[in-house]
Amino acid sequence: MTAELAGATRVTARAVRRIAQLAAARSAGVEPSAPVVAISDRGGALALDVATPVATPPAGESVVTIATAVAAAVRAAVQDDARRRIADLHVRVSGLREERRRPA
Amino acid sequence: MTEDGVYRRLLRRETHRSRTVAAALVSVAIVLVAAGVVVLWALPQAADARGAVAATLGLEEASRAIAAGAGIGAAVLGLLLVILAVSPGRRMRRPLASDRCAVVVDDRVIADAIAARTARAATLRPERVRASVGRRRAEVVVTPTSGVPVDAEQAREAAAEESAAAGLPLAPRLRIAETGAIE
Repeated sequence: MTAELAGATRVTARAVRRIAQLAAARSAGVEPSAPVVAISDRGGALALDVATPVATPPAGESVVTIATAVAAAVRAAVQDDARRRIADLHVRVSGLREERRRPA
Repeated sequence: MTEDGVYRRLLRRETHRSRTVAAALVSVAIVLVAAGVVVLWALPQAADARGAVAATLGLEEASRAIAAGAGIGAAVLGLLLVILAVSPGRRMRRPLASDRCAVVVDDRVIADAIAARTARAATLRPERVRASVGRRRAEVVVTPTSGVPVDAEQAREAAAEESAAAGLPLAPRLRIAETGAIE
């Protein structure tokens, strides 16, 4: 049995930024506070700029692969968790970290 | 006068601008001008005063410029008075239907009510919706939250319902701002 309650739920911009930051950190294998996320508007949809360091890639994996994975993770998290449309998403790799912490 | 007549008169007074001030000013101006003409030009014993006024104002030297200036001033004044007389003189308020009393509401109040209802329908904060009310039309501008599309049809229906609930046949025109708000 389900019940519906009247009202509106709003996800704040701060929460959206945090969701994107955590998704980027998890995917890049760095500390949660390492990615820097900037949010702006582009024609009514979000434009995200994520600057994050990435953990040194293991043999056979490139930085580009990790950056692509970060972009996909951020897009999925913001669209699914915050229900916000994304118009533009830029991921910039801002450095390399030696240790890679894979998400549990 | 019947009760209906009193209400009708009250509503008209509240929804239309009074022209009493303009009429009083024009009356005073006419009286002053007429008195001046009588004193300076009609009475023969005022010839000395007439000469003194003409000399003081330098009428003989600058009579053309003064006449042109006075003519333009009179034309502008006349145009303003004609506009004032012909224009409907409506105030930004309107009567609402009521059986028991005369009700007058500012257009700003109606616009705010429409904006609030539209904001609720679009699940937006009230300050993200602006509305203005004209004679037959309501303009509603919605600034969406960035990344959250607004159901324009639902918002338009809400605006129309609100104006219909107030008994006003306003056709709402909804516009969604191109730039969303980051919040």
